[in-house]
Amino acid sequence: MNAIIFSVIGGVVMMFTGIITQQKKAIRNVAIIALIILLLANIFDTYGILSIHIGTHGMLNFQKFGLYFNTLAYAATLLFILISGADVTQIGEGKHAAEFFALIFFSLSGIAIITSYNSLLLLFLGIEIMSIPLYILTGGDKRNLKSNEASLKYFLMGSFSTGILLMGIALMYGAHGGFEISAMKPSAVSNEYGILDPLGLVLVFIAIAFKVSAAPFHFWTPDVYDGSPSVFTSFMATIIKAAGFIAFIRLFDNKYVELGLSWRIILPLVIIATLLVGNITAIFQQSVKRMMAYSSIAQAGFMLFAVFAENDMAKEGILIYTVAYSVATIGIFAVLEKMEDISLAGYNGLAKKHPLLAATNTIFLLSLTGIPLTAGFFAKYYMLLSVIKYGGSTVTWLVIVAVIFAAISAYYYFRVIQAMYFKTGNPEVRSYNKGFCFMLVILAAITILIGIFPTIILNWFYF
Amino acid sequence: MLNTISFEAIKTAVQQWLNMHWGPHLAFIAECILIGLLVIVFFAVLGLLLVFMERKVSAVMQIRLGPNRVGPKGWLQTSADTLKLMLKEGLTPDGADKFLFNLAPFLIMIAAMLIMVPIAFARNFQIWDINIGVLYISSIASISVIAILMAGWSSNNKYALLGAMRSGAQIISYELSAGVAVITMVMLTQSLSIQDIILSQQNGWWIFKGHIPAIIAFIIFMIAATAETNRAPFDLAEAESELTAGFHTEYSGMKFALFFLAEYINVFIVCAVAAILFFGGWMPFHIGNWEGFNHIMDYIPSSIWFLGKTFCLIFLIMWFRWTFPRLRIDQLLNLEWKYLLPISLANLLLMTIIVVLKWYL
Amino acid sequence: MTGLYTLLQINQLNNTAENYFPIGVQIIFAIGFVATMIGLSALVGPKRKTSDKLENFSSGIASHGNARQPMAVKYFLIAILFVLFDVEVIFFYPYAVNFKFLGWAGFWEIVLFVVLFLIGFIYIIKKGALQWED
Repeated sequence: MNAIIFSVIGGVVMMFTGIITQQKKAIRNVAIIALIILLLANIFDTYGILSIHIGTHGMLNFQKFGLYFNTLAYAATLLFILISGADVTQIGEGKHAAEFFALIFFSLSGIAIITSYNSLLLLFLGIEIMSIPLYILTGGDKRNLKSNEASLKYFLMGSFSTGILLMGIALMYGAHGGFEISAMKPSAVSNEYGILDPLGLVLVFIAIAFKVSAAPFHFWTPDVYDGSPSVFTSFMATIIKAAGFIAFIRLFDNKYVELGLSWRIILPLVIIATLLVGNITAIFQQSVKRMMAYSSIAQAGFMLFAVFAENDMAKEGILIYTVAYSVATIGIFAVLEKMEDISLAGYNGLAKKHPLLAATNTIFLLSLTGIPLTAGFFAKYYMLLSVIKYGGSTVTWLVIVAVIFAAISAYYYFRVIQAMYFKTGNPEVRSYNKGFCFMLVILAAITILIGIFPTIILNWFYF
Repeated sequence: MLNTISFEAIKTAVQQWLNMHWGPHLAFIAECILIGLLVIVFFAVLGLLLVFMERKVSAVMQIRLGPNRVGPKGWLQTSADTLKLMLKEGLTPDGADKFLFNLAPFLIMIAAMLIMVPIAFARNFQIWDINIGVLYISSIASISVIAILMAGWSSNNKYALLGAMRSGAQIISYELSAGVAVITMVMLTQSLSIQDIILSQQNGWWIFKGHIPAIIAFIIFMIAATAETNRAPFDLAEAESELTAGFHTEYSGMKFALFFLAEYINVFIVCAVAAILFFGGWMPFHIGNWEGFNHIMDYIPSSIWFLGKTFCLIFLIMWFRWTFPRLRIDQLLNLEWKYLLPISLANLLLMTIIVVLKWYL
Repeated sequence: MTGLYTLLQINQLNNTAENYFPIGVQIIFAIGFVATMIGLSALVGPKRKTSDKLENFSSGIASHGNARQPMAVKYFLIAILFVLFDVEVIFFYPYAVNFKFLGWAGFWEIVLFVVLFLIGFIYIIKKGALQWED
């Protein structure tokens, strides 16, 4: 409960900070302090110290996994604000800096609901609380037509997917007579209404797949990620997307393992389609930002393995994946935000002029590819391992397909590295300070540290 | 007894007669039809009376005679006006959205007529004592905003659209504090039924029993009521000097007359609601348990009490018109959002404390 | 008439629906009243429609363009604020009826509720939602 309460209070505090002061630095510092308090409150909650309890009639079910994910998401947000906070305050003529942070906090409260819901209604509420601030953030650059277009597109598509989600929830309610997912055992469904339950589940699946941009429902992703201000793309593509997977895992974790064979056929199809669309289209992109949008689709394909496997390994994997992917993406977008030209050609010769930027960027890109000694390797490794643990030799083909696509992804990630190191050019880079460099190094260090000792994160998980 | 010619007695007699001669179904339908006709007649009479009253009151305030030619002392003036409007041509402008343009008068009259349902005109004389009476009134009252916006938008006239937007913003804004003021009074009774609210004022009206919060609520409610009915000093929706006639600029003939009628009916209704909530509706003036005094007061028929209170409040609203200058739209909204709404919310909490501590009665 | 009978019989089964029957009758009467009045006036009144007469009124001068233009956004802002606060007011109704039963605990909860709204209220005022002149 701490996470939900404190994130909302943080949002309100940010709103009022915007009234009291217009100083961007002050606003950013308040946001950082509020976020640290939120992080600490959530960590305390995880250990059962100082946790606030409010009767929710079983609608929320706080488990260590969800709370732990909260911690990771908030830590990632903290890193995000530390490195890109200054850029956030510049968006939209810099008039609404505090509001942007407030919206981020509200989004975080949505995440806290998603990671602990036990009732489908709360799933709906959480997804909405998480998404609605994003629609505004996407349109944060008010005078930019592309940003507006992206915002409207995201909003329309998002509302549509919400409609599907509600329809699915309604059908599941019809089948079970209740919203509580912990009470939804397949055996509890009488044969008469048997069809409602899978149908509703598929609709809910579609809606959440939309939120995490899995393949047939990914069409909004490139435009929205491309149109919205880069800093917010970075927030959307990492923390929000990972939260969508937690929603998935919580939903399917409970009872749907027994749902039957058909489910195990649909999901691999979605995964392969996602990997295919993400990786193949990313190859043809000239803009790094758009390439990252497609690559985020591809990464979503990998993360879907956790939903497919649904075992402890998968849960560990999704946590590592969240951290690895978030840290790398936040870093790449932080560098991207500093580039004047975000096309591939804009990166030409970056290594000569700004060696630090190029070096850290390389580490992040390697991590996204999944090269050993970076966090991304273990993220993918855990994912594939969990699938093998689940299905043994019957799913070997799936693992092979995944590895092939990982190899393909290396092509477009390496193109950026190639541009930075092996091409000559005169990249224009906006001014950045020492603090920014320091944060980049920290992010790179985290990436490598997890790449060598992935169990750091998991040890905390099991205490 | 004294109640032999009261409305209650008439109602009971009619009901008995109908049930005796026809079956229960037919009797029920007949009653419904009777009530409908009665309401329509009441509407017509009320409209004529209020327009006449308005003109006479204005005349008195401005030291002139007012209508005095048609009929004795001008009493038939408004009837003649109605007849004139009846004979006029009802136009629908070319650019108008014809369907919505003609739908708006229907909607506004339906809203006005529906609010009549739970209002108690005399002791036990009420169309239907709905258990959510007060909520019902405030919900139906907000329908008229839709009619006004519909009229203003469909006219395809800039004056009309501006007037409708202003009036829409104004009505919905003041609905909030009116609603909170009503809830403040509901706190005392803890029932939304009009009948319960009136009966709870048996030994004193709430404005006397409810301490200061009731008085504040009354003042807020009257301001909000004046604004909600688009009357001066809040009549900028139809500010003649800038917008000709506001949202009904394009309406002529009978359709105009219906808007006009609905406006006055709404004045009557808000005053009736104020009379019920604060002054006990048809409840005679009682002082505690002073039997002798109370008994004398009981001799005045309850319908006289109700109409007397209502018309006093209507007079008050007409008085406002000639006392205060018109507000500007931003002043108007500031008054509501920055002053009335916070005050009424604080007032509500004050009332809650008073009732929880049982400081009344 | 048979239709009405069946309606009534259904209503007797369902108590709440029966209660709302008078309102239905009122609606019918209101429609009838308006229709009669407008119809009557259409019958009695003159019908001489000329193009000048059917033009929109703009104080005597020729009207310019379509009236359905974008309006000042402030009006819509007010409408949105109204929705927020009206929801608050609506929540007060059940509280007003039951608050004695809820006692002090209920009182503090409603205070919290009001305070939350007041925070939002202060925010919008400070943000200049009601500022009509820039």
